[in-house]
Amino acid sequence: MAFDPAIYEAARRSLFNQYAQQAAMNAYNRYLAEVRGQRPILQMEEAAFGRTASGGLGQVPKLTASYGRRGLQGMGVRSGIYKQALENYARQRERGLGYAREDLASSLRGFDLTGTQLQQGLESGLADLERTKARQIAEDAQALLNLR
Amino acid sequence: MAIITMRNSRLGRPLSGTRLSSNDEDYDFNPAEGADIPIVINQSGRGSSVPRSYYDALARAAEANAATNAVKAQAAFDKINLDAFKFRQEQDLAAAALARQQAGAAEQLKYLQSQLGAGIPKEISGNIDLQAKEGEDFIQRQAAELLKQLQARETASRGLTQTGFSNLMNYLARTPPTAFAQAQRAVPTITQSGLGQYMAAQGVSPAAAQEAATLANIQAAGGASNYNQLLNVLAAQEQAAQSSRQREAEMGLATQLATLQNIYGGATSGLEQSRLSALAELRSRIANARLLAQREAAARNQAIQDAIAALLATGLIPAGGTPPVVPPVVPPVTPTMTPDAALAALNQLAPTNPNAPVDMMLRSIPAPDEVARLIALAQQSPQYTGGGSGLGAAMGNTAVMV
Repeated sequence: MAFDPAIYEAARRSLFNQYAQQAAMNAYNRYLAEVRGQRPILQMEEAAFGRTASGGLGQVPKLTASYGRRGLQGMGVRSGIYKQALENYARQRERGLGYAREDLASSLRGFDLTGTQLQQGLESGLADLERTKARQIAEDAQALLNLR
Repeated sequence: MAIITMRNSRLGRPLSGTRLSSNDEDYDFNPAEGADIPIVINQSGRGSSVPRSYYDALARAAEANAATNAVKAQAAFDKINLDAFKFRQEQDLAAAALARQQAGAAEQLKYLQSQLGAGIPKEISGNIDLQAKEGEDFIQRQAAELLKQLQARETASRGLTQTGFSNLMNYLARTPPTAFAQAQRAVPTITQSGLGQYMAAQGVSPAAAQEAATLANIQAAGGASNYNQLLNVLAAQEQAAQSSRQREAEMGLATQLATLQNIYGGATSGLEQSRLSALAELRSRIANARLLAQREAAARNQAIQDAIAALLATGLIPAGGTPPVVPPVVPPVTPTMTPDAALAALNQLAPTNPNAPVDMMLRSIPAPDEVARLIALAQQSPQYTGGGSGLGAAMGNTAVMV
């Protein structure tokens, strides 16, 4: 087969198109994963402090309010039950947030890795394309020499 | 009685026919007629009534009738001299023809001898040499042209190959792998417990919450480290693959150039082999052409030699410088001759070649004894003895031309 640069240009465009499609899909999935990962974190944060009228977190955990209504917490009141409950809540909250953040980070790293692999595949594909082109040129040159 | 074929002649000819006629005007002499007819001769005695020839008949008639001797003798001599004259003419013509033939044969011999050993004609030899030179030049030019084209193709192929692989190596050098090497490294998020300050305000120790936050931070750092380590490993592999590609390109270039060199060497060898084969074929053809020309020249030489031999065999070419045959000078036969002189003169008319056409004419010459008798009769006639203008004067005026 005689050397035809158009074939390799078409293959190059195909590689870029394929990369663009897969990278776009990966980016979109990453976005969805991030949204999904952020949601439990936000829920846990909101569960502790609630929301202000402006949309921000509240200053007082909602847990305190329930203990106050039962007389276990308030001005001058520091019951052991409340302390224990607050410690347990804080420990579980931090642990849950840690898990959620790590899950989100891991998920996002997976998408990042996928994106990097897609880029590496593109680079490798382009290099393979250049190699194939060089080999085709060499074969054409050899065929030229073999002409009688 | 015996049957004898008469060949009584000193000239070695058969005896004339036995046709007889008393009337001279009816006589239509044919020397060959009746030559082979057997004649029955009565051998019982001299008085045989059958004449042996026309002249014998004339002599007998003259002897029988003296009055007519002169006329008969005159007629006989006229006949003799006429025959001799005709013979002489034939002999002269034959001599002239022989001279022409000898001259022609001499010229032919001269020409044949000039052609003898001529070898291959220069035109043919020159044409063969020209074909050999032109053929060899053509082969050399073709070989040189093909070698030139082959060299051009080899140069083009080498250039294309080097260009292709150079482009590949330049591309690999210009675009190092960056996907994993430049990938965003993970940075662990260090968090503090959001309730620590509040818990302290509430009189609750934040240690428990901080402990959980610390554990989460450790976990996050581990995850990020693992990820980054993975990226580093993949980047190293990516770099190794790039190096492998570059070495493969270099090796591919070297291999391809060696392959091209091998093909070029093979093609050059094949071209040289073809050139040598073509030259050998051409030289073989030229040698065959020369051999054929030499064979034809030898055959022509042989044909010339055969022609010379055939020419010499005709006897027209005098061997050893022998001069051409010249007819003898024959004196005229006249009645004043003695019989011996007349016979001697007549005998000189004998041809040197017994197969010559003039031999037919010699058959009309009378036998010697008949001539003697006729001369004797003529000398007895009155005209001969001075008595008139008949036989003697006629005999003197009609001498045989020689």
